[in-house]
Amino acid sequence: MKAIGRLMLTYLTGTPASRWVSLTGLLLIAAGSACLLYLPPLRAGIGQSSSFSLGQEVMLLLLPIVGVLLFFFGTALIPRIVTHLAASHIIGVLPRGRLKILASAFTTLSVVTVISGLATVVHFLNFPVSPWTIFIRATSIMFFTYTVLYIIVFWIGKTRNTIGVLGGAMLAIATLSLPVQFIAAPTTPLHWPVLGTLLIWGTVIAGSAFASHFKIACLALGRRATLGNSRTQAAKLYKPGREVDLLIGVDRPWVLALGQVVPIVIAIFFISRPSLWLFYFALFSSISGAITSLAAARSRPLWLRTDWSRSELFTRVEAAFWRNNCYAIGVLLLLFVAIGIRSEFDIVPLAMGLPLLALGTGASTYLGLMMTRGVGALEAFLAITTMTLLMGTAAYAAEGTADIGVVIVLESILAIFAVGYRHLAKRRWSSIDWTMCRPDRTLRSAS
Amino acid sequence: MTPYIAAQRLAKTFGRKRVLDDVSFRVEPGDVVGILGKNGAGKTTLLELILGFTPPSSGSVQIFSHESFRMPGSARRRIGSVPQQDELLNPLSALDQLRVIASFYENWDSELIDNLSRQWEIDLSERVKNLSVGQRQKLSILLALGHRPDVLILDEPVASLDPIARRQFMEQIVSIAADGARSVIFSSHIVSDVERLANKIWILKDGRLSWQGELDVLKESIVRVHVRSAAPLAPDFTLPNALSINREECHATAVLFDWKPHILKDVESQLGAPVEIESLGLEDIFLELHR
Repeated sequence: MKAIGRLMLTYLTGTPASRWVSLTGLLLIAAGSACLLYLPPLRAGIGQSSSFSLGQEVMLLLLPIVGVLLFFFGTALIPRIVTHLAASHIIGVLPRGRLKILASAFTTLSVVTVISGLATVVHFLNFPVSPWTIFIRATSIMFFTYTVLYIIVFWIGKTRNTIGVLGGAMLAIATLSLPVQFIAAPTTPLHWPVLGTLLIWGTVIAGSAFASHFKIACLALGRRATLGNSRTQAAKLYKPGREVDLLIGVDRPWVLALGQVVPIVIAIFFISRPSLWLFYFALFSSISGAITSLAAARSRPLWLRTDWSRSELFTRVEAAFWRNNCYAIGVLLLLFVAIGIRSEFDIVPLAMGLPLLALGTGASTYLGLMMTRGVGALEAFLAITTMTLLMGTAAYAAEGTADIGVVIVLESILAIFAVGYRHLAKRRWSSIDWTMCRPDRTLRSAS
Repeated sequence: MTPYIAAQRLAKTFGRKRVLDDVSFRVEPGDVVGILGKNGAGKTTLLELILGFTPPSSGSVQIFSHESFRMPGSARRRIGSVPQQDELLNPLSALDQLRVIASFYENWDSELIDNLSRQWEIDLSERVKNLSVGQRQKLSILLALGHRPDVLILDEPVASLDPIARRQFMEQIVSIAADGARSVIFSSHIVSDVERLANKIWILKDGRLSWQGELDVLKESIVRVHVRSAAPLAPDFTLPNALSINREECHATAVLFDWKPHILKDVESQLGAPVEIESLGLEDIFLELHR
């Protein structure tokens, strides 16, 4: 119990940042809930007379929501610490080490969920639904949401490219909208999140319990594969004439292109609204260009071994990335049309969505190519601006009332961004400094 | 003779941090240069400047008479490089990795690579990701040697090699430099290897070349002297160009820089006491220079 308690405390207060975030989150939840419980009813939002202005009511309602978010992000160390400990050798000698780590993560997650659930009950106190139903719905969906978010947070921490981090962040934001959908609409069935939670935690528990057996089996399998197939599989990967693609890591375009299919097919069960679909696809269009942010670091061996000047190198690398991205965007456009027809989208979001997805890939590709010096303030600002514009356009274009002229203007701005990024990328590559984009530097940027 | 590499007052800063300052050197054909320095002394940055990966903040570095940052492809093809972190392609087999790199060169010496891979016991059918750290290092070295470069630049090339592989690697480097037409520059923390292999030493300290020259000259110019006086030595007793000095009543031990034989006679006549000279190994010299 002592070890579990210590681990839980570490998850919540392991770093000065997590300490402050967790504490502020708890305080905001307490303060916000107290306001909702003891202050006069908030009625301005429904057009009735109230002791508060609409702005004040919005602020009061937001307090516990922000608190819940902060309290959750205060425990963002969980995936990092759990995976680090679980993969370490020390786990083998600690008495019941795996069980304790797993129990600590599960208990912390339960605590965060229960506190979030209670805050939700207070938030929906005036709704004509029983508090118990709200609590059950809130805790069920939040446990699932937090589990998925921990996986995303872990992925963001591990990913080596900047746009991957941004993609993860956007995915996290999209995931955060899950509770709203499920709690606010009490008729939404809960079996998907419950099943998802059971699946994820079942996998984690099984993986933890049989980790050593699993490791041995994997090693044996790997050895057999190495003995049997290593030469033939490797031979398939290397085709003379594709050396440049191999060196910059874009020799297998179908992996990325087909990799998009799985999450999109899964999303069919969750997403029905065209606005959400376009938003979701726009996210993928930006991620397909993500690997370009690694192009600068990977191009170094090419410069040393070819006759190309730095400017010529940019042209070759750009062409190689487009050869790769064409597959990804092609598959994405086909899927978008197929889902649009199946879900009977209006013609406007469908027609406006296609160029938007292509522009998303274009802008993110050149944004990535532009990153020859890691991620500074300018790059971060441009990346956030581009993602906001892309997502904003996607959300707007999918609305039934969207003005086509406005959508065209927004897409034109995105196109100007892409052209501008290309210009900047070309200029930066003409004097690229590879000490500014060493692999270790890229890692630091990601962290 | 035209040097392969020449640097004049080279400096490099990253933001406010000055990594290299006022570094000048020449590398002639046949030179085997060992670079020594503590972590963060600027060894990798110096090698990257020579390779043209980064422009100097001031000064210049020329390789084959071209500014390194803008050197043409013809000059780059005469360079072989082993980076500190390998740039191997994990999914490929070692053989395919060699084939990929060989495809960039018209003068790839397959026979040399076959011989070396046999001698160094690299399983070419194995996937790169399954190779041990030492095997990866050996493969990286093969990739740098295959086109028989005129200048070979290696950043910590033997860090992960076992003693046998290190010896084989060093023999190879010696044979490369033996024809007198090629040069090798390498950095290493293993001082004994540098001592065995290099004929020129560069010692980097705080971004400056605190010493550069031939190994023998370095060893002759830095010595440890033992002074034994009949009378107690003065508390402020010192010796010219002393890097460090330890005094114990009638006995003092000092490490002297820029040692010349005539100093021995001067000190002996000044103190009226015998002075013993002790030669230092490169490791001791390195430690003394970093006190």
